Amino acid sequence: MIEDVRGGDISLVAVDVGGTITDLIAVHTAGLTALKVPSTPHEPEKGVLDAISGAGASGATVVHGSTVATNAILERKGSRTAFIGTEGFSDIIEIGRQERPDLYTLAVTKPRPLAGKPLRFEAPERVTAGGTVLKELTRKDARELSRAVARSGARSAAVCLLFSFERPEHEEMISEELAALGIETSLSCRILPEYREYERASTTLINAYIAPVMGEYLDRLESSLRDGGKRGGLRLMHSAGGTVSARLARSRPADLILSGPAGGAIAARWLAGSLGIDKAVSFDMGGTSTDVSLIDQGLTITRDTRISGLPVALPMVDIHTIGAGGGSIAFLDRAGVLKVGPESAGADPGPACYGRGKSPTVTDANVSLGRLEPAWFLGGTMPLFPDRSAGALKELAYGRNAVKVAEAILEIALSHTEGAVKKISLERGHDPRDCALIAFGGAGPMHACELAQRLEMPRVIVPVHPGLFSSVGMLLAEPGRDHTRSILCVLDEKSVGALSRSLEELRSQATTEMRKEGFKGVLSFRTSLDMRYRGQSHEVSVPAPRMDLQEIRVHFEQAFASEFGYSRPDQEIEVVNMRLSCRAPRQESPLQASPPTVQSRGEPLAEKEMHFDGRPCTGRVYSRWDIVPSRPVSGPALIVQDDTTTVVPPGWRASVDMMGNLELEASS
Amino acid sequence: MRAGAFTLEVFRNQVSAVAEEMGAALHHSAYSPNIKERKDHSCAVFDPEGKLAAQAEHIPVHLGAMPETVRAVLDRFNLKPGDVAVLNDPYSGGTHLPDISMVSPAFKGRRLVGFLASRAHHSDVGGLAPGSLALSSDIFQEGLILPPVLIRRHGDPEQGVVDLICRNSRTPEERSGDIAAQIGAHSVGEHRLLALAERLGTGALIRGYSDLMDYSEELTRLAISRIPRGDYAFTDHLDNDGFSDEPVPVKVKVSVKSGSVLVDFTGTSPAVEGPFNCPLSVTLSATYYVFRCITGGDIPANDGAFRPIEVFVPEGCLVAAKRPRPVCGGNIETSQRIVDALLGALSDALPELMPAASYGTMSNLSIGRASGPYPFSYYETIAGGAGGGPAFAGASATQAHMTNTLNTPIEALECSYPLRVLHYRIRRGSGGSGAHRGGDGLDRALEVLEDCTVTVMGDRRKTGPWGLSGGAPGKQGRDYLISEGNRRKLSSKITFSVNSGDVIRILTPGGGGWGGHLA
Repeated sequence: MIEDVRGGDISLVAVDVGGTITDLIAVHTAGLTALKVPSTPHEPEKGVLDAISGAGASGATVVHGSTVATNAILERKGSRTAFIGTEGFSDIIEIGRQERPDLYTLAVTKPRPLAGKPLRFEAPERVTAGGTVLKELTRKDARELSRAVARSGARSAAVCLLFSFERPEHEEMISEELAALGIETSLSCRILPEYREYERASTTLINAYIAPVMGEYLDRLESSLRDGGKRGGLRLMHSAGGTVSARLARSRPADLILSGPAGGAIAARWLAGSLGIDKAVSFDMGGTSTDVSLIDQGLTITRDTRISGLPVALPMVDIHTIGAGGGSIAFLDRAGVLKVGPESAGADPGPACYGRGKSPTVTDANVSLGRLEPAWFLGGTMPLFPDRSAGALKELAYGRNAVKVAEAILEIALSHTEGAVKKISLERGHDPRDCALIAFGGAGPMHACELAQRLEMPRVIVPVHPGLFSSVGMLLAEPGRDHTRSILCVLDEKSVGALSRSLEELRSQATTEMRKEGFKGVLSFRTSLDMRYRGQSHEVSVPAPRMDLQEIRVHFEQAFASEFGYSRPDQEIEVVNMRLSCRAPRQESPLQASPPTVQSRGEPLAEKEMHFDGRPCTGRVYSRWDIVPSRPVSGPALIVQDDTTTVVPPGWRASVDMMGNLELEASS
Repeated sequence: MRAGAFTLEVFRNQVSAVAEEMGAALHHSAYSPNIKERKDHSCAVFDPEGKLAAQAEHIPVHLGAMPETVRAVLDRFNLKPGDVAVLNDPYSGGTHLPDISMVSPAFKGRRLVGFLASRAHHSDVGGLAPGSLALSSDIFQEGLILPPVLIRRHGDPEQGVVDLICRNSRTPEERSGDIAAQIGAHSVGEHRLLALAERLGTGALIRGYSDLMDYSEELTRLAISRIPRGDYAFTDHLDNDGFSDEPVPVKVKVSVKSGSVLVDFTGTSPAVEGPFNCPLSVTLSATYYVFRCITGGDIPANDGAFRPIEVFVPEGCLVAAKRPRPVCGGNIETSQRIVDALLGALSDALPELMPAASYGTMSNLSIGRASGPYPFSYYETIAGGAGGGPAFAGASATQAHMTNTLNTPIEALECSYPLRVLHYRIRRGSGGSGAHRGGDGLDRALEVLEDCTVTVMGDRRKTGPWGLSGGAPGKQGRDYLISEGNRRKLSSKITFSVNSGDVIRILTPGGGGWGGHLA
């Protein structure tokens, strides 16, 4: 793939396990090596080990993006798990927030809780606001409760008691008793010490449900890595864009839900940073889906994710996914209107032009419009059948002109991706015209310029190896995680002292954790406070490097005014949560995979008929490695490389920057 | 192949994005939890003739009510660029007084290219009790009434109108924040619609509206044509109107013709003394909701989707109330019963699709105190069990039909109010039995820690939600006041004073069961 340098001193590898393909990318003295092996869904560690031994990287530190946690929830294949709540409140995991997911269905279905009624237990205790104990939990009751849990056959247990984030002692007592009986526990006061009991309970229960599965997986993986020879460290990519050790991942598997997709966003953040771009949209379009995410100096983080309908209130990179990709199928609905997706032809049978399937897809539309060149598709390793595309398109539209149908399909796919970008930009108060578009994945660069045109985005950037970009993100991810603590106090002179103490505790907790993980060097910290005007229920998160009353107040007023358009300086401010993000800066900074050193001819490979804006035209086809900084290329053109094709529409110009990225701009 | 077959999906995405971005702007910048957290708001795009083109709604009760709003404004004003009209009068385009609606035009140069409309539930607009939901006997007790007036003229805010609304609310600062957010959303909507007109050309935009409406109409007619033709009738009841104890019938006859339906409310109770009357717009919303469930939620919600559905309501009826009847409970209680009656009628036509009745009441609970050191107002709706159906058991503890608002977290509630939750459970066994059981309701008990005033407004307290095809009804709801160890059953619609230490316990109805018992 990139370069076939084996056996050099490989210091770091990233292994990203996808549904069908496992990607590996390795850093060694001479640059980067990439490798793709088939995934092994029934024995996920096998694909990882195959890739590592294939790359000759058994001594390196491995950064791993794993879907084991996510799949265990989606397929409901976690362990038999008990839920322990406060007396009178164990049903909260079934009640949820009482809303239904779909407004217009007569068959109301709510997500099935991970612990059924027989696996719910109640602790005779009650704590209320401020940590005031209304009913003390006795050791005897905790012991009896634990025995009942053991009798239920549960292997793992989640404990979420009311106000435990203010008084964790009751949860801890139950944990001790359960541990004595050999039952693993996840405590809400550790997993997510924040108020709002349902979201906390749901997150804790998910953690408990997948902990045994994740633990066994990591045991097998680590022992095989050890048997494989030299022992490198194993680190797991987590959802907020950092990495944790296998040890931490065992106790906090709920942090790994976006383990894979976070890589692309991190790489895009890094690329934007190195080009001095503040705001960008990362646009990762693959075969079945498209992930978009906003970069606003850093990654945008959300705490409002759901998986399989169940909330996980942990920090995660804010990625919006839609079912639109190269394999998305076009069809006519019951009133004869053309639609595209979300059904996908996947890799098998794949688009009609692959030679097996019959359904017309977005890729077939691109083939019919001359935007995919069969001779260079996937480096020429895979034959394409353009006639089959045309046939499938004609059949779809009762013999109408295949080009017209193809244009319509592309237009619809673009309108779906346009909507996705609007969701993460305009709907959150960011103007896409201020953002660069960073396009990657197999289908991203094919659609990027036309997407940018629709959103009036001025600049498109395609990294050197768009197909490996997400894995590069894993190499770039920094060790460390995000810590949180519920505070619930009015902001004043008195509370500022308490806030300082809380911050100190949180920092020392984070530092201890990092030292235990083996990071001895300097750590970087970012603190923020979630605040609101007293009486409101919605918080604004404000960076707070120091616990200085005046400074915090001013920052809050500014943040509030910029979000809501007004502020209320006379009103009391409440602090709800303190958040601390801790990272160990990367030791080595792996550069982007460099382009193969080939002599640029600067000449097109071919000329080809293409269609843009309803008109045929002749465009040139260039090899990606023939584009050099001194010689930009004007559209209409295709720029081909092994992992993707970049489409340069008429009126666009492509050039290469100092780092080797393709930069595309509308020339007008 | 139909006209616009290639471009319609793109247009649909573009025009609904205008409504959604407008809604996001409102949601994002609103102040009150009701709009921010419970998402009790909607935004919509109308064509230059005032026909609904696209809507982004979060709760179904707003579905059919917006066209009436736009009509009321257009009847009164010839809107100019930069104008925004506001109203909440249930007898002139509104639903109930807390729902404040706004309408504004979008002009590209001198050409009108459409209207934007928004509606948001404002948590207090005056009236008898905090939250503006009380056992009122005329509309004047329910709060400030706004006929269509301009709140922005040629781009300049009419501060007098804003002040008028805020001064009539118990929470003026919240109102002023929410109103600013709502007007701001109109600027966003106008901007986006003009950008779309620029991109497509005005002619194509206006053609697009009409193609999209025709498309929805065709899909709706197609779906209706699959319902067997005939007349289907059903009568359901509200327990009472809160003043007398007489049941209040809601009677409906659905006549299914080829590709269209007539929904006739003849036989429904005349308007009542208590606040359970509905303006026609609420009745339309409930009717459209039912047909949207049957025809498919993926059909774009616009004028075309509603064309095949004709509604007839006799003069002076409960479900087309006339001024000055009180209406605050029509939106939240009667709307649910209209849905039940329609589902009951259609269950004869579509036995393979229709579920038994769901809990059928929002079990509204308001607790508050207007005076004292810490005045407060707490309001929420408590969900119940959904009805079982031919292919599914009813879900427990879920919102159904006309609402979908969230509960208040216990940890938030105990930090903010002098209240303590004693338990919050699923009311096991409350769903009706049957081959497919109804879902169970909820059981929530609150202790008040200071003296205050409580309003309970619920229904299905006398008879439970009906079962279907041999399934048993769900258990009816029950409400208790437990004071000094004595338990007293409460009537379903009541305002009363409580003392510190008193406990209010609400048990909501389960859903009806479907199908005979398995042997």
